[in-house]
Amino acid sequence: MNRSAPPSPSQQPVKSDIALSVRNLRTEFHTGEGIFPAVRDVSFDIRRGCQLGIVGESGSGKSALALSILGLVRPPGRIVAGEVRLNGKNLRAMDEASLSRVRGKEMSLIFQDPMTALDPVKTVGTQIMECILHHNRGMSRRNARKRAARLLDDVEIPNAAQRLDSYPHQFSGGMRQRVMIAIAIANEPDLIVADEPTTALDVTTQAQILDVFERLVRSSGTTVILITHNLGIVAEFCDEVHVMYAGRIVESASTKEIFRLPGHPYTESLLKSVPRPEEARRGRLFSVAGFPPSLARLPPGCSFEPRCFAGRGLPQCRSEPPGAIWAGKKESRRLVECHLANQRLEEALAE
Amino acid sequence: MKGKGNSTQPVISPDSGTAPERLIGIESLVKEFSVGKNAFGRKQATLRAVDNVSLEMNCGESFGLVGESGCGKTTIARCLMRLEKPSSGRIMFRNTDVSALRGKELRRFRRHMQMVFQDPHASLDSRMTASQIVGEPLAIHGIGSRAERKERVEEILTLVGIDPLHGNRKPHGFSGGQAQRIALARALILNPDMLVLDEPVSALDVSIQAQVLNFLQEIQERFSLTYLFIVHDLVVAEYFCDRIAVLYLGAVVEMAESRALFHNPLHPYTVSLVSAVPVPDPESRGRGRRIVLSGEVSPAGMRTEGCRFRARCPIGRNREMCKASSPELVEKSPGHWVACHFPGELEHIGSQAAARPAAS
Repeated sequence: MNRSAPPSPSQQPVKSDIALSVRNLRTEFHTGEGIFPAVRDVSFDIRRGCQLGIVGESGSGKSALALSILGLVRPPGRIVAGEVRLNGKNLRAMDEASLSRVRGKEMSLIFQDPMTALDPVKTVGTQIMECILHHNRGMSRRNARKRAARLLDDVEIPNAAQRLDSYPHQFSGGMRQRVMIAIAIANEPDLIVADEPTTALDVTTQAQILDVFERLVRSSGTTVILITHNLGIVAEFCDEVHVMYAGRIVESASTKEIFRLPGHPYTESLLKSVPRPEEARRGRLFSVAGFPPSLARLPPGCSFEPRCFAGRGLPQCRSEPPGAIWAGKKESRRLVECHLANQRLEEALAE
Repeated sequence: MKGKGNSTQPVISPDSGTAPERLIGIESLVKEFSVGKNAFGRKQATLRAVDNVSLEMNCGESFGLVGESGCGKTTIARCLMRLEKPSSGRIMFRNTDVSALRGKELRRFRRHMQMVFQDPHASLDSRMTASQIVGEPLAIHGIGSRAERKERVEEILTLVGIDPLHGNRKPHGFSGGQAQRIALARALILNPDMLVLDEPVSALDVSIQAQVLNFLQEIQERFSLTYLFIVHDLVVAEYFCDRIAVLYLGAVVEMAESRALFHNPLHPYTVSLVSAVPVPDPESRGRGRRIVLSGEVSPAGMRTEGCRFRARCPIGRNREMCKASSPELVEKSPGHWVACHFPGELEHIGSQAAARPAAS
């Protein structure tokens, strides 16, 4: 319950600094048209309390990565290799029953479209209470209801106690997403995975939801993985960023550094293709040439090489897949999968 | 930078000193829908989706309509296309009153104006091939022989950057960006004067969005097209449009050249919209620049007395004047129109505003 206090040594093993650790995770989709490796041997750690953004184009594997972490990959997809450790426990070794005790309790998920995630024939209160009671055996319904009302109040839904008896369709899109957040934080999880939580909303509603969400997770120290294609949201909300391309994390760095000095040509292309308020019209936007490669037929070298403004046609980029290397100095140091990263960062810093 | 003529209608010509040629004139447009019928099918309430909107669009201009969902931007576009019949008001296309057209004349008019929707995979018929989709308007309007049509389809597909050899594929065989190009090819094949673009890039990834926006600019210059651009992303609107009108509950609350609107918003609603846009710059974070509005848009039917924005307004909520009367749309500076009793009072404290000279 009380997460601001340090965990007492007598109860549980002391929680390490790392909330989530992913090692060599590989998820493939086996279809009639071939094998699509949506997540290709991905490894990373997330610090406790960190708000991590995962960005990339559609088809880059960011949602598949999220589902893999939560153990929610469904056929034709399956996790073929790797480890996912939450608070040191290997989720991949668990059976479905133990996993469902972890899901909703230690980690939870917020989807893009609350209407598909919420049950239309149950009241909002019932759904929040189900989530509380499922993970707190022995709690009375009365207390669960009280707690549900407090959660709705936390996500700033007016007249929370009365609104418990409303059905999802009686809420607006923004209000439904608040309910989703209430359910996600109901059992004070250590990790929340939010998959495009505000994409379907208007900017003003989006701003409200992000404000509420940020206040709640920052005050409780919850670790967050935010999946989005909106670089503006990443800049405002996240501490660190992973950029995904063709199933790999091609760059990971602090938000500040990645925006100041993108290390991977793909990151740079993404940042440059966003229209900015200051930009004069009639100057063409930068756009990445071509389309993302099919995961079933990836180029032999760097998967971004055919579209890369820096490395297209270079023999090394064409033939050798780049591994993750540390590039940059001091505070601008980050992991990049690019043969040219060090050279490019040095040039950029020299300017 | 600002327009020359100080006429009664909001007209700016950003590029030249000569008076621009008017293509579209929307005059006091009202569109009401009846909602909620009782057991006998009798109407119980009307919802005023568009409330007395007047706009002008000039030839070759990109005009943006911005606002939250339910503010009436799509309804205005649908009235313009004559997919809806206006309840009152006039829509002039050059010198024709579109709202009065019927039958054959209406069909002939529709050749001049085409619409492109948000999600190409939803708006294109999934059972037709790309060539059939693109060629269908020619068949409907009975233009050319079969061979001529085929040639024209191939020509237009090449223009939008789709290999005509892929013309026999169905829409789902194309990516989102490619499918949107097919939708554009279909819209362009009749040589229209105007395209109504309803959130044409909202469903696309940023990299593809950039490709489509660039392409839209190219064909606009090439065919001197006029665009009505419906968008909820203010940054895209500012980047792409010459002028922007901000709608709230079916009415224009502010209208200006896009730079002026973005850098010097006068209506508190516009200020909050501008401040709510997530800026891709972590350095500007945490300066309290965001003005979060309380509540959400109330249904347009539930109008009360006074200013329509009053319930959510950070400055006017408790003011007598805002309660008593609905502010008119007036021209505060040349080309910059606003409907607010206290324009400019709520300032946008953000990166843009900080960099902007106070006198601008």
